[in-house]
Amino acid sequence: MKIFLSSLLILVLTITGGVMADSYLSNVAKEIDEYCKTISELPQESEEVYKKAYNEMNEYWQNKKKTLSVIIDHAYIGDIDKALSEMEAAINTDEHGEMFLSLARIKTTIDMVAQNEHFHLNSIL
Amino acid sequence: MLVILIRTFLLYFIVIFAMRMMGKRQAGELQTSELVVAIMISDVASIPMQNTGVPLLSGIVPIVTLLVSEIIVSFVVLKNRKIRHILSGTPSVIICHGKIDEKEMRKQRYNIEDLMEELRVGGYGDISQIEYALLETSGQISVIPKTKARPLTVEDINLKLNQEQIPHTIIYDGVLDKKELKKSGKDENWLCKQLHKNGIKHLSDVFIAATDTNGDLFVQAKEKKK
Repeated sequence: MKIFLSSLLILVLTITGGVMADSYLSNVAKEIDEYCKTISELPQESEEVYKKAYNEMNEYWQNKKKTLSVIIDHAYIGDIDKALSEMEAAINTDEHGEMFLSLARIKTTIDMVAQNEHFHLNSIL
Repeated sequence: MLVILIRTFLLYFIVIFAMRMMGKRQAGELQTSELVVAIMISDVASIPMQNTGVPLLSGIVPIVTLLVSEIIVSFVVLKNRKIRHILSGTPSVIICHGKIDEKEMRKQRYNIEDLMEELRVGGYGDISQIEYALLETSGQISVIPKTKARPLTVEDINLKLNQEQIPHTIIYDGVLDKKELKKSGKDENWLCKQLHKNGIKHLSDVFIAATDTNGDLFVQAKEKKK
């Protein structure tokens, strides 16, 4: 009986952990989306403003990365890191087209990861 | 490399713990669900072991889930006979009153060569000696021999013997197991006397000392290093 009840407890804890992880990931995805939206709506000529917005987004991502690496595949984290580096390079070289491309990649990746981890029928199937 | 090493250690202990929690059955006696779980656990554990890009939790959570599912199913099966029959099946009588049931053999997809092999392994080379043979849910064959062919028992020859006891390994590799000594109903004084009788002065010289089914002590000293 003890083992059975312990198993039920472990199951409940695992489910709770899963729900918390899903919620955390969704929140991070939302924040990243907000950052991406903010950057894409900035006036196209202000490079300093782009840099500032990029640094804010990058700082946010660096803070969340460690926790996310416990939950999601490291390849996705690598993809976002790579896209951020490319975005930084694009800002420095004034290549706005490349910058928006990297931004789109970041947004797509984080949205896809959040969607895959989210608990609904499509993800299960 | 070090990451793979640590992950392998962690997953190894987690899998051992999971298999231990599943119960004391040996591999050959696993029920279908238990065998499935054992195979799945080992498969799932190998993924984060080899691929450091996959989070460790991606291996641990499925293992824990499989373990918990198995324990819950085992508990339900324990309490509910109907579900036990659905999940584990029921034993099938392959030989009844000394005759092979061909219909049952076909139903179980069990061929005659397999049957003869299992009977031989069980010590029954002569099929005419068998009254019943049951194909258990674990896949093993249990045999009930004909009365004239069954092994002789103490009762048959009217021999009076004392009830046998559980053997206890009291000393192993020079280390005394006090719990086992207590369970055997003996004490250290008795043990010392027995060791002296066998020419052993120190515990550390003993390789193994175990009580047999009659309560006597079997002692083997360690080999002396040349």
